Amino acid sequence: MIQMIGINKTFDKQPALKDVHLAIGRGSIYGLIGSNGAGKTTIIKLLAGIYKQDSGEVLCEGNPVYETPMLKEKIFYIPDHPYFFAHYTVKHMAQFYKSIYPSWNESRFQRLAEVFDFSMNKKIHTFSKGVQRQAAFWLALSTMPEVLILDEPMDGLDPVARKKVKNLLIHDVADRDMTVLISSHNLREIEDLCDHIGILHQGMLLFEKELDDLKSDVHKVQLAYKGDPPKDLGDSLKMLHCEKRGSVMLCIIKGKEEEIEKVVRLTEPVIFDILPLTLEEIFIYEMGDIGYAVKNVIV
Amino acid sequence: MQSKMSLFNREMILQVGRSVGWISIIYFLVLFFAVPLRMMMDYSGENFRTFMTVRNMFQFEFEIQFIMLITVPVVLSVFLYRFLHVRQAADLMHSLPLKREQIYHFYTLTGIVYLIVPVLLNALIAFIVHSIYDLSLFINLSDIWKWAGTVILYNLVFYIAGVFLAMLTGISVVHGVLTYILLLFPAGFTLLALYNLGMMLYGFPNDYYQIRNLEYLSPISHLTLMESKSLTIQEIALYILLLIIFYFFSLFIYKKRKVEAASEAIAFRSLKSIFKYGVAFCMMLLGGMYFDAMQNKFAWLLFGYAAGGIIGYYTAEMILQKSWRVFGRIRGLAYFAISMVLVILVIQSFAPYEKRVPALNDIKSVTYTNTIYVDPDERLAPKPLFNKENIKAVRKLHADIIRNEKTNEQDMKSGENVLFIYELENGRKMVRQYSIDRFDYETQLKAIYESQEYKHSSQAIFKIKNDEVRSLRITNYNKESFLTFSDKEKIDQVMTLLKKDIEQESFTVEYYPIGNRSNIEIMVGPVDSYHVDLKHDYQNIITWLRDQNMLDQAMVMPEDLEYILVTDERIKPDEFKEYPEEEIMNKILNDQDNLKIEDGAQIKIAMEKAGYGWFNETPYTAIFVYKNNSQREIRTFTEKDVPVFIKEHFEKR
Repeated sequence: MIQMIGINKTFDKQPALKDVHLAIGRGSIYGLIGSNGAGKTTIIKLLAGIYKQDSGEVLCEGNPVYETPMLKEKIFYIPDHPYFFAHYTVKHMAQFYKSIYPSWNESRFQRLAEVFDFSMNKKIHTFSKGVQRQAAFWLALSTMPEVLILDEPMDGLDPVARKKVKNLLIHDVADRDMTVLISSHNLREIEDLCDHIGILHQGMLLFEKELDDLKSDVHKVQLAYKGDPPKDLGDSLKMLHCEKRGSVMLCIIKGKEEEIEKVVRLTEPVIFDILPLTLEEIFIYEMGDIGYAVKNVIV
Repeated sequence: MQSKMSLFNREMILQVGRSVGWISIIYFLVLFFAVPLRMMMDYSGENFRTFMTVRNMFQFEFEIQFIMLITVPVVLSVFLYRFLHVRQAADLMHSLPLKREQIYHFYTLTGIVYLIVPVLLNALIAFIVHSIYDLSLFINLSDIWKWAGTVILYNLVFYIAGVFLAMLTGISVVHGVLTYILLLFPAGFTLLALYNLGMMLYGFPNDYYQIRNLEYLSPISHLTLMESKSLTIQEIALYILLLIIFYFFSLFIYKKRKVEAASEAIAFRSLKSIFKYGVAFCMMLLGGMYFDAMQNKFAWLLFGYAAGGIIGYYTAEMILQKSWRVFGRIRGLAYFAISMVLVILVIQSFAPYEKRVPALNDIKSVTYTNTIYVDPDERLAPKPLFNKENIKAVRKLHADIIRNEKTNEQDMKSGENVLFIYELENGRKMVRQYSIDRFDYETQLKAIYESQEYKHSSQAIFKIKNDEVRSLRITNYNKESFLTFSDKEKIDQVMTLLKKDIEQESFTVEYYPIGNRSNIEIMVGPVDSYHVDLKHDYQNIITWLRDQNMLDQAMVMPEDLEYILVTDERIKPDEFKEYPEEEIMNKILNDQDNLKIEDGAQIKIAMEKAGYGWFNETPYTAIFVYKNNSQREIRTFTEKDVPVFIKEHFEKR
């Protein structure tokens, strides 16, 4: 659905993105994780057709997005600070979008009025930051986008609103195969939502993976042996990390669960547990040295 | 799939209206008060005294109209394209499924509608007022449409300039300021360049060029002329051409513009250095011009260049960096300084320009003058000299001025600008301008001024045919009556004699007239009149007047004086500045040692020799006391002109 091929972008001689390749399939929710200044917003504005890349290609359905209204009609972008025309109410904005997006769904807009319990006839700039963001979601979902691009969407939302918004997003994805790109500096915030994750660091996409793959691929194992542990354990297993606390060993091992169990059982351990692994731990161990560099981003 | 956006998108028009509609409303109201309402006020019943024809509709409150015309379109363009300069608004606009072309055409054209609707409405109201009050006697209907057309044209010119600048910058304040700079630039830069060339190149005739329609170079200064002039077809065509070019050029730039340029002072990197060094260069020229005008010393000129250049460079840098802490950026300034030194050296080394006097054989004609006319074909404008002897005399003066380049402007008793306009045999023109002290060039000037050809080419009276003159009036400044001639034959006689006297008159370097003079006003046609002095040494005309028994009416005669008081005290120039004339007179009147002249013959001699050189610290000062109303006048005698009996009187003491 969406592709970035060899993207480079500089701002006033400062490189912001370096040779970024990225692919997002239809109907997936893609989480873009990175610290401040990593280039998340730049990627998002390139995908939304706001910025023009210095080199490379930004494609949607195989065509460049920049200056292609036919594609941009299907894309809706909510910036990190939602912006509305001065003194406009939600209703004014709705009329404005309605006149521009052919896919605008008026009945959806009316139905969403029940979900968002604030007036559509009040000027948006009088609302709090969180309500403004909800208004942005309201308008965005009413345009029935095929691609929804969200820059730090959970900022300023309370837990109830967060849940509401997440439900709406998941509903649209399930219902009509909407594609969502979410950026965040905090993995935990979106980990329950995304099915794909990309990690951006200093303008480079370090890592792009499907979450289910990741979770079934790495395991935390707790082991204890009578006497010394077998020396060849590391040879037969792909050990990412191992540490010893007293006689108990804590290892991060890559591989299928059954295979690991089969190998470990052969060594006759006294204690053998497979423990759940958080997503951050997966990243840190998976990415090795770079993982430590971006640790603060993931946590 | 066809894009849904069309030019008549109601919501978009509303959106533009919500951001700039207020400007439109204010514009409408101010124009309404200034024009149609003013028409009603001026021409409604009781005010019949103000009933008069107007030349055009700009004459109603022109100042207010002018201010609105130059501000409204620019302010409108600033608010209209503010979305380009606010990052979030820029992101929103450019994330919409609209091509930039669509956004540009839509916004620019909608802005034009909001701009011209107030004008059209006011024209319509003026039209209605015109027909209700039946003002055909005072205002032509076509004047109303002409006014509306001119206003709309100027509105569009300023507006498109604003749109153009909107694309080049990312800050709304900078947008407004740069728009005015662009609008004034052609005239302002030409002025600066001419003035500075005038300072750098000895003889460069900057006044000669400056007077040539500089106000036509900027639409703002051109607009100031609209109260008295109307646009020609060529001017309209030129403006429309510029409008079209700038409309599409702006679109071209908009397509190239990056959205992230919002909040950058200059949106394109390549333009930043042009902006920076351009500002530095213009400020350098301005600094030079200011300090030269104030001090007129070469060292101050250099100081002005340095100060202006540095201030301009850092100002531009501050605008670009949006910070005042830019003083570390010295490298660019160094490059600029080096290149400017080179430019100044190159210009200074234009020795051939400064030293050139055309060879005698190359000269077809030369105009030598100290007044510059915009239109050299005007009747009173000095005409060129063709006589080889006279050209030789002018060449000699020119060559001498160049030879004395270093000393010409030192210790000037009185400076005057002189202009040489050579018409060369090869069809080229060569113009030079100098500032000289005429006392340094008495002999050279005498040769030119006493030639008949020069007199005929430069003096107004020789350009008037005797039979064109409707009447003559001689005023003597003392008696209350005038001497008037309206008889054809007398006029012809006076004119002929006067011309003869002027032809015979010899040259004097003195500026201040000696002796009492009268003024002859020559009326030509219904409005034109020319003035010529009647001097006491114009023997032909004086004799004729005496024969006609009209001399005592035409001139001040010795009999008109009661007496003359003379002292040998000088009046210091400061005294004239500090004390009223009355006090100086009283001082002389109460002087115990003064000489009182009452004898008619002596009065006559004194009258013919007394000048008006008050500021020249002449050795003798006199009070003339006239019989008529005891009028008094301060006069002076120079060492050269003082009558012998006065000199002897004071020497005997």
